[in-house]
Amino acid sequence: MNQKQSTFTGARTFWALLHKEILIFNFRPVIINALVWSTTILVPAAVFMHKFGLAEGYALFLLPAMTMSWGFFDIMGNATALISDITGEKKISYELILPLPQWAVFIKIGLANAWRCLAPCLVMLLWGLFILYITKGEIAHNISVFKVLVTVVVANLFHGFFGLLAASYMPTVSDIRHLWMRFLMPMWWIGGFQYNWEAMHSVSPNFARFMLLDPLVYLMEASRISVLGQEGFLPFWTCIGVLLVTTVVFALFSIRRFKQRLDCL
Amino acid sequence: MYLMLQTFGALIMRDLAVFLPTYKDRIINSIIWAILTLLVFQYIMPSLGMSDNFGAFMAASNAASWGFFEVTENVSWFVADLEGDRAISYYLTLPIPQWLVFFRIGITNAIQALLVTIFFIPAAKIILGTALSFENTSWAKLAIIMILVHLFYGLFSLYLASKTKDMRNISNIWMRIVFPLWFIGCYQFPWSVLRDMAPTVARINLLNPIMYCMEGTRSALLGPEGSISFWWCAGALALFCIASGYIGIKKMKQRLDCI
Repeated sequence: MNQKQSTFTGARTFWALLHKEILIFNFRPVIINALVWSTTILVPAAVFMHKFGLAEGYALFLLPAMTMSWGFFDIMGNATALISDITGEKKISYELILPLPQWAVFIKIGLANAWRCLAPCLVMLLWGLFILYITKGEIAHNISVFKVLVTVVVANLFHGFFGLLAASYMPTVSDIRHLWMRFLMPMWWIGGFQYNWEAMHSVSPNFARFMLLDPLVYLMEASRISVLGQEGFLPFWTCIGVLLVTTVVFALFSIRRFKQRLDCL
Repeated sequence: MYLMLQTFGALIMRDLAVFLPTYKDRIINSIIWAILTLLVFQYIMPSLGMSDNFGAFMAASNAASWGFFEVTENVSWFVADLEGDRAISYYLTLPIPQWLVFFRIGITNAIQALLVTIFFIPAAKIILGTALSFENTSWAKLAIIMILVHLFYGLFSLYLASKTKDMRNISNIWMRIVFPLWFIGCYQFPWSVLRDMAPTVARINLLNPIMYCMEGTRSALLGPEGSISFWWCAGALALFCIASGYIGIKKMKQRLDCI
């Protein structure tokens, strides 16, 4: 088989594997969960939180970060599924002997992770906008559909490969709890889920500068810019650039770690 | 009767012996969560207009919340056992009534969750300093409500376990039952605010046991002002303990085909 044929076969196998992941994933229960989750967070933010001094538009401020965070929670599920396979049935061994480069199998896992978060993310955003309109009559006047789509794709690619990286640091399934409580949850919670980087900077400039090392800050900022407009946030394309670079770094790291762990060629 | 109690006690001690090696990790994980929540609500959120004393409010909410997450994790392990080794089958052959085997799971979950949560108030005091005053705290009431809250969580975990078909269903239970009950259960706002804004929803929320956990803990820690009466919360939680224990054990017996 010459080089061209080999590349073609590899690409076809890669697509077949990815297509299988797309076909077997059942969106319905995930979308129901996403809708319950978003409603539960948004309604109190829209209806009660202004009683504690927060601005009336706080729920709209929370919506984009909440939407784009969904995939971050999926990291736990995706990492657990991958590790339980590696420590159990090892179905991945079959995929690693297929006619495609072994690194492509891990890329496929990252992309499949991203795909699983994509649709719930978009549905949540639309649902959230609808909830805010019917409860508060709020409309996101500065929303940019193009920026929303760019952010959704980039954010979920980031989540997908972050899930792969997280799995590479888990010897067993039970380690997910420590990983979540000690690394992922702090990254998300202090990474601007409830406030923007500017608010962080006004309270503690040093802390805010330190938090620029947290990629979640860029994700939250980009998501807010796409719905609320640029004013008061870090530059949009800087955020997207940082997220893309981080995604590539996470992909390279996780592929390297998994190849070592699974004794790949 | 003596043999039954002895076996029951031995099972509880066995569960605690298994729990103790994980105790340090559980405390570290829970304290990270509590500290980060308080740091955000006390020091960053005021820059967005939030009232300055919200940290103390959240300290009480956190103390009443963590046990819920702790027992939810235990539900995962219980369901994993049902799908895998089925160690429970051995316990069901011991010389104690089968309902007591399930009751012991609830009690163990309650004790474990309580042992982790007791560090929340000291940690909150260190983070919040003078923003958390114990001037209005009733320590006796706090002890009573903490026991009732965690007893409820322990027994409620039996109901959750009986509703969880398999491990893949865990995230559905979390997203559709645990999270809404907790977040709508007055975690971030008192029931009185809910009553002022939406009286009908507030009345429906009286059926949410988590609301009594939050209100009772806040009443004991921060004083009764603005909260539902402490004794109402304690009474309601006692009733919810009995109901969730009874239903949970009944459903577990049905699920495991017990006599």
